[in-house]
Amino acid sequence: MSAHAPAPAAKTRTAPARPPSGFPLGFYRYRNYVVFAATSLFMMLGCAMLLDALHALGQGEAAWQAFLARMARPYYVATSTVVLLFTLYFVFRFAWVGRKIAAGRIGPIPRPPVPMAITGILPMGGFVTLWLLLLLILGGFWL
Amino acid sequence: MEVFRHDIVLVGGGGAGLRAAIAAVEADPRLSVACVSKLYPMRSHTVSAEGGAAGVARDDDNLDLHAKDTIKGSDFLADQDAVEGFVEEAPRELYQLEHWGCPWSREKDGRVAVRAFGGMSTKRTWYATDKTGFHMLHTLFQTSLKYSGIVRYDEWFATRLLVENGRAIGVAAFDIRTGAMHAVLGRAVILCTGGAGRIFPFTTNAAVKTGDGMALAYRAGVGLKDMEFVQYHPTGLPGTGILMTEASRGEGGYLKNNKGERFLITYDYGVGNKAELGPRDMVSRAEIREFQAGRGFKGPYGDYVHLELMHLGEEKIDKRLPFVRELAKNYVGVDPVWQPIPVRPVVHYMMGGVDTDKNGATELPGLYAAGECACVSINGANRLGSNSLTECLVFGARAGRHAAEFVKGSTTGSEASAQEQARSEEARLARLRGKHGGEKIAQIRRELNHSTESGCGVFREEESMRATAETVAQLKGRYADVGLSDTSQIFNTEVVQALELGNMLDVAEAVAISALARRESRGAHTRTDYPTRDDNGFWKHSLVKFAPDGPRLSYKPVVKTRWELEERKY
Amino acid sequence: MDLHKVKFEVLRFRPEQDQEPVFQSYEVDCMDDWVVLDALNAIKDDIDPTLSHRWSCRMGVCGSCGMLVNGRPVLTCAAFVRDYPDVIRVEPLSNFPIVRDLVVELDGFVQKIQSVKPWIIRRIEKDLSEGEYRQSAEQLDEYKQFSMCINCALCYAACPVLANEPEFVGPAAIALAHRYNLDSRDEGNAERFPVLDSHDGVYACSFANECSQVCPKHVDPAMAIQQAKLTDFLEWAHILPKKSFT
Repeated sequence: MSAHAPAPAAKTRTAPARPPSGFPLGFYRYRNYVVFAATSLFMMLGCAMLLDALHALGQGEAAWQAFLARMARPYYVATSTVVLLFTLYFVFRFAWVGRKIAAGRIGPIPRPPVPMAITGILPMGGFVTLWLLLLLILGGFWL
Repeated sequence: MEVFRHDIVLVGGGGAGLRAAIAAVEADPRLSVACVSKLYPMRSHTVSAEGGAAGVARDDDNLDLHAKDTIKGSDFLADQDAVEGFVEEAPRELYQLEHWGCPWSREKDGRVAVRAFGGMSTKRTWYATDKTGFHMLHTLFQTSLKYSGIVRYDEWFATRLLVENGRAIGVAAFDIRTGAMHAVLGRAVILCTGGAGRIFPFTTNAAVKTGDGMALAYRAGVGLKDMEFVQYHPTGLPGTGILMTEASRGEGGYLKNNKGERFLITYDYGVGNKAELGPRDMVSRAEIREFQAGRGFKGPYGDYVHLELMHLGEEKIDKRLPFVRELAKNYVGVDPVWQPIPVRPVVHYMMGGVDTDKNGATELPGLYAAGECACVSINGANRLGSNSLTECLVFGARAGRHAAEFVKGSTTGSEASAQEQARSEEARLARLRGKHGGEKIAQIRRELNHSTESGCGVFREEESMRATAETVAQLKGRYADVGLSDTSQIFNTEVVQALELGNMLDVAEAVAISALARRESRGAHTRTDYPTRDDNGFWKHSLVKFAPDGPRLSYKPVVKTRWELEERKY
Repeated sequence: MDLHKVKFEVLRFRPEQDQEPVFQSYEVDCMDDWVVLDALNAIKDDIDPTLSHRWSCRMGVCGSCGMLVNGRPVLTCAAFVRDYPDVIRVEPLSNFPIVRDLVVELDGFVQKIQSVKPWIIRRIEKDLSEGEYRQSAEQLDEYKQFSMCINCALCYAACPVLANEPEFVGPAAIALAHRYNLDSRDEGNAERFPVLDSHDGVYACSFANECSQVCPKHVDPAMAIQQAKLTDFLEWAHILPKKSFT
């Protein structure tokens, strides 16, 4: 028996499965989930912006100055802010996941003597924090 | 008409059924074992059992003590040789379940923990917090998935035992999903369908406890033994009948009347210093007597007493009785940490059932039975709490092993005979679906419930039991004129209810007839007109057999080995 | 005890006569302490015996009576009529094909449970005469919560992933696999790895957390899945051995 086995053929005529009630936008928790899913789009956009910055960096001083000028434009600042907000929401929700990931024991390694929330948040939080910092720096908000 | 061939056919997929299936395929891995159940197995009523399963585990305990407790608890109606075998195999079965992953609660040293229980002279009840039946059933079901030899027929309803040349050859069962009748053949049939609490109105039992297997055996001419003994559990919620486990008393809970007295101590109800841990029949009688004396609390569902757990403290309750707390809060709005729980006696278990020997074999070659639907008897006139879950394991395993042995020498029934019998069942089912009589299923069921409770309740007497017997006979007549609204084939649950009602009427008939004939009080069968135990006249098992002109009653001797009869006082 | 009228809008589907599911209304006199299941039984007994629904224990432990009540997956034996407005909508569980009225196709669900090999797997089994495997209360606590699943499938009804990917093995199955992986007596996580690691395994979960929100037994399958993801990654990367925990 495997999850890949085809579902047993229906013995009688069935009505098609109905989607969860209130999905995707009717019920508040499903709405939150959709926003969480949408953060992926904006984080992808943020990655594109980072790549743009890196590319400009590699093209020499003039390209870099042009990039900095572009970054100061209102549309760029607005987009960066939206990206930042979605990313913060992602971080918040992922940290919430974090407290669930911290298991009592992983294999033979027992739970570390620190609160579960922290052991969960640290690895993910670290990565996201680093990325946020980069965004802030390159966005000209800091340094 | 499709015929499915297996080596062994089980009816019922609860604790006893799954244990029997596993035992059979372990005894002989080449066997094909069909498990025909009207429910997905994890829905079986075993799942609701809470308190625990008894088996000698500690050094200060011994098999003779467990046997003595059980025999005394049975008011000496249990067959002592069967009890000896039962207590001996009990620990092994419980360890086996532990090896299969059952999450038994533990002592500090990692060994399995045991708790006190009613009628047990020492702690020997293994438990998994207060959801023992749930954990046992899921462990058994999940373990059964290992064996490719076990083939399940989920949501199939067995309507008739197929018999050929005086031998059980399988069952006629219809797929509730498609409505199609089939024959499922096996060289042995094991009935594990549970009890019939639903013949009564207030019961801990689930909807499905309608005595199907008992009725199947009864209609095939096999005797039902000791049917008059119906156990009332002392602590069920009024109205719903939801079970408040005996473990709540095992962990130290008190039962109090409306004067705040622990009435089991204040008045003499025969339980001695066991108090709340007296055997169930005595405690239930005590409660009814308290109601009769005006010392019960009055409620919309009748009188009740208080089950007090407040003195145990929140920590102990959350650790040992979390499910009790949840149920009390949800269903009666009471948090047992702060308030007493309203409880009253409700029907819980049938000591009686299909007459079997110590190995689960009935008088019909090839037919076995185990669990609550069977009567070996190890529970006699009254069962001790926590013996039933163990009973499912011990006798389920025995029946499985013996059926596996039996089929080695036997041949499969003829397909022609099976088809013929199954076709007649198909026709009967079709007729039932199309019936447009004037009687309603729910109405007959309600009248049955009213009659059993008023006539065959905790206290019985000649007139009331006779009235019940007559009412049941009348209801059987009216049942023939039942009308169904649902004529569909696909997942027709009305026709399932109609079949279940027919089974319940047969079982109720057996209960009433046996109760009327037993002119003594023993264990759970208490008569106000014959209030004492009569060992000279009635130290014997009753046996009811179906006959077209009315059930035939006879008696069987009780087996005694080492324990002398004595007055049952605690 | 007072009676008050409540209107139930129940989704019906009779494959032999209905093209598709359709709502049917019933007026039921309900007592104060009734649950939705009591009302459904009252409909079946006295108003419309053609209504098909599953139920058994009526105390929240068998898992039979899961349905959508006003859109939310609940056990109807634990959904009190007094907690709802005077119009109550009852539908079969979402994400499952409908067999008849409030009865859904559960064979696929049972197959998924079976696919994770939910039984104790050991290299060497102890003889019964040697008694029990020692397990401390702490070791029991590690998996206890995940062993409380009653297989009611409410989590499957709530999961948005299953709405679009019906092959996802699902919360209950993963929680059950995780329960055995965490059990100190078990050594079988390598056996369960292929199913959990597959495309339809743990990684199909995108953490909606709805499963844990609707679980009536507080199993928290979302927690099991996220832990299983981490464990799976560590095993896949060979940081953790797959063979045995003990």
